[in-house]
Amino acid sequence: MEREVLNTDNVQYCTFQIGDDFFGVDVLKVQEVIKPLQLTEIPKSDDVVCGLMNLRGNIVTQISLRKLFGLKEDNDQEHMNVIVNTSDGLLSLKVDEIDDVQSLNMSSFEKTPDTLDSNIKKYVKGIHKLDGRLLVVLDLEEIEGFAGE
Amino acid sequence: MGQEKLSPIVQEFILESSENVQIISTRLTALEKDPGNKDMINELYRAVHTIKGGAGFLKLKNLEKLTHNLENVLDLIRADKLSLDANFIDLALESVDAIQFFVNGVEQTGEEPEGSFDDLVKRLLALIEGDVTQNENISPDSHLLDTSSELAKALENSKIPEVKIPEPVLEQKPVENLVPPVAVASPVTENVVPIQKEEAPKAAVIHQGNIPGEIPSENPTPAPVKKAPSSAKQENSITDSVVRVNVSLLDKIMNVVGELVLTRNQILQFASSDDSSELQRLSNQLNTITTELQEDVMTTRMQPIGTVLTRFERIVRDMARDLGKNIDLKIEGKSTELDKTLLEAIKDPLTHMIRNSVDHGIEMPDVRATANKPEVGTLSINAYHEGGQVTIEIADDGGGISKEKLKEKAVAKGLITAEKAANLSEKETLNLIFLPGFSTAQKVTNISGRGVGMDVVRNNIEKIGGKIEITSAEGVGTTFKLKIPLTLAIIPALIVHSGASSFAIPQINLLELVRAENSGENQIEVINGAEFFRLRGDLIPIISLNKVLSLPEREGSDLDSQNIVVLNSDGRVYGLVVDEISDTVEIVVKPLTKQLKNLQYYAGATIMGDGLVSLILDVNGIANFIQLNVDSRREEDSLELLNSKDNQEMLLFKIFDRPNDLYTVPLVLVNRLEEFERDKVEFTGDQAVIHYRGSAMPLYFIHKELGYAKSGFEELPQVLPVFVLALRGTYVGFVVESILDVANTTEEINDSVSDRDGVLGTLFIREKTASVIDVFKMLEKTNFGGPDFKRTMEFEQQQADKKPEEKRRILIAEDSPMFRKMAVKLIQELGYQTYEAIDGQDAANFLAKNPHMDLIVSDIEMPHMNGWELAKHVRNSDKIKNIPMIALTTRYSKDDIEKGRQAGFNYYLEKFNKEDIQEAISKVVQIAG
Repeated sequence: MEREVLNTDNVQYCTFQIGDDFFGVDVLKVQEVIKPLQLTEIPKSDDVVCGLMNLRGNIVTQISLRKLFGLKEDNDQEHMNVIVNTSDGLLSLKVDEIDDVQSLNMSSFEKTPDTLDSNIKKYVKGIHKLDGRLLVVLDLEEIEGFAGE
Repeated sequence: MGQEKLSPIVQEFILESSENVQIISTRLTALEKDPGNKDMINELYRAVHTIKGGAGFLKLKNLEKLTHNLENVLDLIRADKLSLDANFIDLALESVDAIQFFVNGVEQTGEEPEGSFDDLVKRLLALIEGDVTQNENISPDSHLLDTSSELAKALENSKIPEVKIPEPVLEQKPVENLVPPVAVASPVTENVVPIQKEEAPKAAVIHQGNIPGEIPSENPTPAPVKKAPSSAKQENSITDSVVRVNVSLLDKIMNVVGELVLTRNQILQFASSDDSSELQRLSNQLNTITTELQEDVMTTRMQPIGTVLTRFERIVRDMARDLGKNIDLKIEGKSTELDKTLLEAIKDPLTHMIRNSVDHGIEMPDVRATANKPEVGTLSINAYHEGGQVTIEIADDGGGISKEKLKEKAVAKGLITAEKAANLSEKETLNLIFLPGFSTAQKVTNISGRGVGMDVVRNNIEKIGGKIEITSAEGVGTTFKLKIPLTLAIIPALIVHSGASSFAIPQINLLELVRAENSGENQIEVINGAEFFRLRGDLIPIISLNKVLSLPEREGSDLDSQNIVVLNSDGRVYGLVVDEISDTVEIVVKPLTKQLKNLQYYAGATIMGDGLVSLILDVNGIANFIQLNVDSRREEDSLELLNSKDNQEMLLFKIFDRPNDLYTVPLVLVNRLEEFERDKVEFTGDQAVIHYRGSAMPLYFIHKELGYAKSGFEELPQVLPVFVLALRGTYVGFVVESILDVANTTEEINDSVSDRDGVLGTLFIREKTASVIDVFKMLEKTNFGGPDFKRTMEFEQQQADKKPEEKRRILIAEDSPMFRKMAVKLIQELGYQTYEAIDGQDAANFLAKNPHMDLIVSDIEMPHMNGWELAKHVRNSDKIKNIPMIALTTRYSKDDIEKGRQAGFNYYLEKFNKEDIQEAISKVVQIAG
């Protein structure tokens, strides 16, 4: 984390919305963004896990960021999937809406503010202050390892 | 042994070169008899060439020089420029020794040993020179030693073949990444022209790093290039046809083919709903092509098992030399093919087993000689296909495994109890070596004892869905049998449906499919909320998949039967109730990500034909769930106890009017558990009966029989739980308040608190005291069995009235304390004096001191000396041979009866058939008296 704060290079983020908030993950970790696929539910699994999908022959676990952040989820609501590469396979993050890929300078990067909702805080690396809004940068490793808590 | 210090590449080189040296020497001797065999010459050539490549890469200059010249000679022979005569064979064999010297040197020190074998090289050169002189008219004396000038000349005369390295298909792997390639290609060829020698290491790096793609083999001798014979060209075309491909590329191709298959399935579905015949035709064509492609790609992953097995030649040779043993290793079935990943997975377990066999299996030559065995021990490895699996047998003709020592050791290490050890079968005894923390070596040597036990070997084999068996005869040898599935990637599985989802169950865990009716004979029985099913006499626990996974229960009123999938989980058998059973299909197993790893219910996931993901059930994980639900008994009920002879399964229940008391009967007496409606109970006189299986079955209310009849019949609940006994072909039912559970115990019945008739004594079960109901006594009291029964009782009374010294003496041999107690009680009721023996041996010992017995009543299945052996012993011992004997057993087949008669039993009776037993005893004793 320390190093990233000091790094003044530009970083590209794949950004998306959940509720009214804007989030981003390192674009290099993102394989693709897809529309919802048919899911196979996993009985007895954590509520955050939506199910398994077949992405061109690969089995991908989908987790709901809304549920992970302790937000309400409406089943009928439209959503998108951000497919990210993790150390043990592909993970699909269920988000509300996809925004652009943004190239941001690390000089606008700040540590996670203490005021952030404690449900979300542990999955956050830091924030970028942009004109009129904040981009919350997610920590994929934390999200990936939520089961181990 | 400095092997640990050597880099993996050097180790690889040593192994590979050792194999090649072996090839060279065997081929040379064969060629001596059959000089015209071109194939063998080519093989020889390739082997030498490979060693040269490796030597060049590792900068072993002298070895490279030697092999380079040997290769050139061979090339001339290949091209018919030189005759294959005895002179050459001698020279070549001498070179083999030299190569071996170099390889051994490298192995010991990691560096090329001193010695250049100049003389040998000279003589090889002379052979080449002689040939060149003949063909090119170059005077032989001008370049006796100077290869470079000779070759430089040739270079001028011929086109220099270029080494073409095609574009790598994949990104280049670093050298450390030593994933062996799947296709066994010809060795990497580098040019032999000295000025290009710098090229050689580069080529070798490529070889080690496995750049996929083809490196064409070039004709390495410059001299005969002009007149390159056709045979050499053919050789080129053979090596040209082989391509090295990285395994990860194959994996990728497999995945892509997988996707293609799924798309094909969707197109087929689409085409079938379309009228266009052209689309139909094309989709069928696509179907055929895809299937063919799928099969072909699968075969690319298959590799001959020889690639792993041939390593052992060296390992065995080295170990044998270190240990001073003579061992002949025979390998058969090298060409048996197995999936690449599986080959990798079995390499270590196999190595461990081979090391074990060499170290502990085969004896030292002097030991073998005294045992009249050939001094050279034989270790054979045989691989073959059998029933869709690959079987690998590792057999040695060594000392075998001493079962007694195994048991001693297991007991000494506290792995099992001495009592249990005594009761183990041969197979169970041998399987002790697979227990964690067991090592058969008297002392741990650095050769086979590396802190890894056979338990690790078994775990690794089972991890890939394989099995391991062991057979051993002391003094004759030991055989390990490994059964490995052909491929890991694709396994057969049964598809079942429960809730709204479909699940795959690996076929390897599947025993059978049965259907349970909701009523009648094949129904599921409920004991304290836990369900059981009686499968051919065995009570197996049943669990519903819907319950395990909290899925919605099946709906509809027409559910008159249930589907049970009978599964085997590490020897535990249980039934899984599912809504629907579908087909068996081949599935591709994919692992779950870590968010799901902690769910013990699933072993992975797979993609079904319709493109949807299905979960693969973990049969062992679900078994654990049953364990939690049914077996709150924990330690008491470990598998060990279940197998132990002293163990008794007891049915626990409560009776009316005694809410705080626990009652029990041996489960073995109980035939069925039923529930009857109170309204259906009828009375003939005072006797309650119910219509059951086509006849009237008498019902006994245990609380009433024990004298607690406060509650009248009308006050009993509408549904009456009943356990049913089968006696003399008729059924008898005992009404209880509730049936609780089945518990295991090794406790003995305490009969000091047998306070009332019908209670045999008490038993301490699950930290509570339960009264053991004497069902036979109850039946007697109630006149069950008619006048015959009464007569026996009168006789009993007479006997009981006699004074002890007049009583007849009866020896009871029975290993189970519970049944022994019951038999004692039963016989004492007849008024006899009883003596107890805990097994056949104990009985024989007792008889040696007390030969004046009037009767021996013996169980058949006993440790140390079984009933048949006891009978033979008695009949063959002068003093006691006339004592009548009665066998009391659960083994009651015609054959068994005949066997018992032959062994010398007067009567052969079923356990618990009290009337028959008492009648027989009375008869026999009277005759004898």
